[in-house]
Amino acid sequence: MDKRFSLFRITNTIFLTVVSILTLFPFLVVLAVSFSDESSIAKNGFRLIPEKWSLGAYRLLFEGSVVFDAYRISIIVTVAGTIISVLITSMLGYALSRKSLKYRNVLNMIVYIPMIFSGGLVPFYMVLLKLHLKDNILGLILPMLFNPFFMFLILNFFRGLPDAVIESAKIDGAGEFRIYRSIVMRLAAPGIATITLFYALNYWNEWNLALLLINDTRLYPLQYLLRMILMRVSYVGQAAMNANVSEIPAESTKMATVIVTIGPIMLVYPFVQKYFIKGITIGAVKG
Amino acid sequence: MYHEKVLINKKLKHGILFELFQNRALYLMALPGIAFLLIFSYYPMLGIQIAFRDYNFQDGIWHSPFVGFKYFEIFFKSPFAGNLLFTTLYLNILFIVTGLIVSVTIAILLNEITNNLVRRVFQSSMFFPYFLSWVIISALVYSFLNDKFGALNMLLKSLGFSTVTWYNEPRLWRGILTVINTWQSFGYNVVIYLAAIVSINNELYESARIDGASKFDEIFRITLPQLIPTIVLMLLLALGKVFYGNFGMIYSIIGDNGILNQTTDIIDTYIFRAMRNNGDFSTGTAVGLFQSVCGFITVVVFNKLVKKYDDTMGLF
Repeated sequence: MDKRFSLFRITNTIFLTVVSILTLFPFLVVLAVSFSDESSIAKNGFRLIPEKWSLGAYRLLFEGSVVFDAYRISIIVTVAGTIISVLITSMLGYALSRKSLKYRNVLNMIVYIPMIFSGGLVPFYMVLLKLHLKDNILGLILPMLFNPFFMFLILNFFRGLPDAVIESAKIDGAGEFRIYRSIVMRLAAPGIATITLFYALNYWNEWNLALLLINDTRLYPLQYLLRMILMRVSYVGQAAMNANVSEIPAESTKMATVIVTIGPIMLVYPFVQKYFIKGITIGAVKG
Repeated sequence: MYHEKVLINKKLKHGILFELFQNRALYLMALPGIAFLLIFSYYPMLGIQIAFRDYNFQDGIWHSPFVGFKYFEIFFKSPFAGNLLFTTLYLNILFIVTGLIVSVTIAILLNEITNNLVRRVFQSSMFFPYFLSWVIISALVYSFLNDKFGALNMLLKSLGFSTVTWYNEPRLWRGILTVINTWQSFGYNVVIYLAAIVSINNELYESARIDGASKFDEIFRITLPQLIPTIVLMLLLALGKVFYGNFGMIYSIIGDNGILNQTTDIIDTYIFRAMRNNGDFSTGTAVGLFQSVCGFITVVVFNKLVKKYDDTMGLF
């Protein structure tokens, strides 16, 4: 092995180690602050290793019911939304993958056009109001039920399945629903897993709809609750903070809310990231 | 008699109703998705007309007085229209170019890591920010940049520099947003470029090695040239979306901060504010329509270019 080669390898490994740590660094700071004692924050600011550790922020956070309520809303929205989304998306994908469907090009167009042209935010918002989705938990689910990108992703999966299997099932007298349920969904399981996770992530991270529709604090999803807690102290509240310290939630509490909000993602991340990588690679290949 | 019957059968076989009946199970399965699009994507398109009307609540979208291009004129004559448009395009181009350079570089370097486990750990760490919502990211940004406690000011202080009130410095924020955007999305793009690198024919490297090529020769003469098609495609697809700003990012990090808005306000946040803070539905719709039309044209043009470049790619 020549010298330049190993020198390259060493610098490369060190460089990428630094990049990886820097990528996670902001997250580590927040984690540290959430476990910091308020007085050491006041003295030293945000640090990776606080002078004094404390669980106070989490204790405070879990004392009230606010976080639990928001958690419940987020879980309901994510679970219900993801299940319905995956059903709707995979059924349409399956229908479009069948060559015997004569009008599949028309349906394809109907799915495709919204990807390149939309009525814009205001008319969309007016429709949401018209459907009485204001301060309604359905408002956090219904408008996100279907995503054309994920439909095309799963459609590609279905197209890759062997036609012979479906044809022979048909000859055996299986109906379309049965083929969809017991053959296609099973054969395309990796694809289904991928869109399930994409949808779940979308629902969990969603806050734009809450911003548009939710005023009732009991219906706040976790992300929106976090935003409300943060809002009071970022730039807007900076002036207020100097005026009246007692009204502002403590810094460590805010960062604890961040950690609580990321919590589920951190837990499942090691197990699910490969499905995302798979989905992205397939999606990228097909635009 | 017999002939007639065959004719009728033939006619039926080609009719819409026959097809709908024949494949009723499939159409039934397609129905929920199609219904969703009709309600949440197509139905709002009817509302576009209020861009040309003085919208008021009583008269609604169909009967408010027609005013032609009044709201487009008001917007384009206003002093901020040019700035909004410029910021939207400029930020996107900053994001695209920086993101491209960073993610291609990292993907190439990552590919050189031969230990599978190490490579996977690196990739997982870099991919993580993609999973965070913009609200979370706004909190991370705040933990770095808030002037009282922020980690960056603490660092500056400990190094003996004076601190900066980051949230009051509009000229810094296009750069800051570029850093944030790159940080959030490079792991995602690395996945794509790494997949492209892995699919490069290994024989190319082997024969280069026999010819005595160095590592750097390999990178600059094989990997990079072989990546060009993927880079061009990613670039064209990204440019197709250049008129659409990232509302979630700007609104969660900057929000209604009037000082920073000068350099960070984009079309999307402007529309939201017109609608939400001023209740100005007609202006919001007009600006939104302008954006949708520009966006539509660029997507179509850039997709044509993608197709020209490579038939198998592109959205249509």
